[in-house]
Amino acid sequence: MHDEVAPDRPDSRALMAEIERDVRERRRTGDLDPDFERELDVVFAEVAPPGAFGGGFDTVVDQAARHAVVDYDVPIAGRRPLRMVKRAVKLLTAWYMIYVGRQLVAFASTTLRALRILGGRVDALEARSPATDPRVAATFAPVGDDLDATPFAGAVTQALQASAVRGGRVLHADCGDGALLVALKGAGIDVYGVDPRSDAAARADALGIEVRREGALDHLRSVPAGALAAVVLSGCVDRLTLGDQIELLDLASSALVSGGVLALIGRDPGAWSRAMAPVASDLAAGRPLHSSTWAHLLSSRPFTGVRVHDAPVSVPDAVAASDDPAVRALAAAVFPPPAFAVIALRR
Amino acid sequence: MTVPSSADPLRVHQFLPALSPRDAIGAHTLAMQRVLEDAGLGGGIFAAEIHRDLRRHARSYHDYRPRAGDVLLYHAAIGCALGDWMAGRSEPLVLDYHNITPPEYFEVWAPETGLLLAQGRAQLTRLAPRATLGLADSSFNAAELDRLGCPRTAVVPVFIDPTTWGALDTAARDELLATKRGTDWLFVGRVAANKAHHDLVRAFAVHRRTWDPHARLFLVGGVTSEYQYALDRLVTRLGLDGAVIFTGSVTPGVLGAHYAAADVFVCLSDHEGFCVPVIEAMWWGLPVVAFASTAVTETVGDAAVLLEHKEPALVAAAVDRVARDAALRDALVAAGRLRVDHFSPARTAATLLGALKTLLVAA
Repeated sequence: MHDEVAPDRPDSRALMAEIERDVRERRRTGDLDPDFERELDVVFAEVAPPGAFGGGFDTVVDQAARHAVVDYDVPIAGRRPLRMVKRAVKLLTAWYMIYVGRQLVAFASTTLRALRILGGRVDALEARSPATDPRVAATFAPVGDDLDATPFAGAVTQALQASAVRGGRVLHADCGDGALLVALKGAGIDVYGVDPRSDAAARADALGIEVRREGALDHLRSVPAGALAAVVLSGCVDRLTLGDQIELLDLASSALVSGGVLALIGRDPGAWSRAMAPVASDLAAGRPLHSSTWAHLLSSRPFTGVRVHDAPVSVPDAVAASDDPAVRALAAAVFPPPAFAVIALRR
Repeated sequence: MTVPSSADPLRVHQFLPALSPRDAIGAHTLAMQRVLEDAGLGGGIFAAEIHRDLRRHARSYHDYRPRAGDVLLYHAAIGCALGDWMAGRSEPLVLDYHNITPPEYFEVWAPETGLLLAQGRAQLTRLAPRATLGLADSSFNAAELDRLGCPRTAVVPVFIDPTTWGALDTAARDELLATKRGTDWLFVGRVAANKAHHDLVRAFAVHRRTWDPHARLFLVGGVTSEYQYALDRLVTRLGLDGAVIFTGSVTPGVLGAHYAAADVFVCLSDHEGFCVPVIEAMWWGLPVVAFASTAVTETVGDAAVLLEHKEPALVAAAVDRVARDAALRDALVAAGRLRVDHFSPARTAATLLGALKTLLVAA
């Protein structure tokens, strides 16, 4: 039994911040070789068997086909007397092994054939779904510029201050160049971001913001339950398919501590479709949801205090100066807010 | 159903798929048996497979003969015919859930093991709702039992009893210390994909290249499946032959030597139901760096550097920090020792008997 008293425990958050700063500094100075880090990302996948990292349906079925072939040539290596015995057993039981083996191969090949037929039917179904058809995905050109999330920094900060959560990390996905994170960090909030685009993440790195090169869904799947004080989602919320948008919401809900803040910063669908070329908007795999839709989705999940914050609208001066209610109503219809933040607290 | 009367002494019989030495569940079963016997509740140990060194402790489950007052305690960890047999019994059932690794981790590397795990999960789904009580090594495991409809659960950690570990192999330790030139990383656990040895190797490669060219990584644990073959090729591709050492299964004395000689214990497992080796490492005074996944987070408590993600550079930097920073190291070691006390056999025994008291009351 150990009787000693532990010295002061290190502040784990400060320690991790120092460790992450060390990594960033070594990346900046070139101590950490980016080529080597990239190589590490792929090298294990290259030496692993097909299907170890997903690899798709066809890869896994091909692997099953390899395993379906029964090898009748039983190894008989060993020291001389043992090898002789093994050889004799092999010869004496060959007819039996082949008889049983053929039945196994017949069963496996029939099952594989059924799987391939099923795969073909799923392929045909997917080809009719714009979200999964690669020909449609190739046509779709996403909006190039990121939505500016910084107008909502104040609303997010206020929601955090009003919540019962003290401390804890705040995640922004997709954080782009990290402008919102810079604003939140300036308010003394412990922040980090994720963004799958290396160029955007590199710009955030340059601002001294910790950014991981990862997609929002992939990252949130790896975050332990209740680990985050707040989650801010932008960019991805407008691009993902409906199924992925809902999964994103559920993952964020799981990652949040009780009382934590979720902020969904999205484009208004009307503003989005006007900003997009017709071909791109018609063929987009995913599209923005209305703020009321997000609010509805949040209210059917463990969230409370759902509030919608609209971004400022720029309207012609003459319209802005008008006191006529009819003009104002018309302006609201013609110039809807281009973006919004839906903010809620995790129960 | 056999209904015990007040005249029938309550006996808790333990059932498990395999009773093996050098195995956390085997050691846990034997320790639990001592506690049950001391409390006057001891029944027998019954297993599907029994290692020859432990045959005096257990019998085949086919030899079990029911008596009034019997309670059957099943250690669920993998699928086997015994699980189906348990589902058909009418005696009061206590499940001791040690976690069943999701089969996806094994489907590619060891399909047979994947099938057994899938079978184990299916059996657990059937057993959990009809159990009188579910014991779980961790809250993580208990939550799974709750989801499966187990009517009552209690967290009873794995018995970890250092007095049963045997003597340290000092020659092995001295050899490890004599050949040390840099930071020695250590991980202990079966070489299996859920334990993410490949992430350890990748992080270690960054550490060697950027922080410590003389570092070594010792991976102690039995080997299964094609995963080892892929790891061997990964080590060679990264030019780490000789620096990454797979020891295979070792004796308790050699295991102690590795704990005694290493500088930092690094666990990047994706899925653990408890993770006994991190507590062993703490007992040996090793600082721990761990990825915050599944039950690892609650097992280490605040006595480890917990990583929210395992980007290789981050892991490498964390290990370097622990190896270099004497104050941090001392704090982690001291916190680790307190954590070991939290899992002392006496404390676990009290927790177990407290949980079983509900059965006594019912009887």
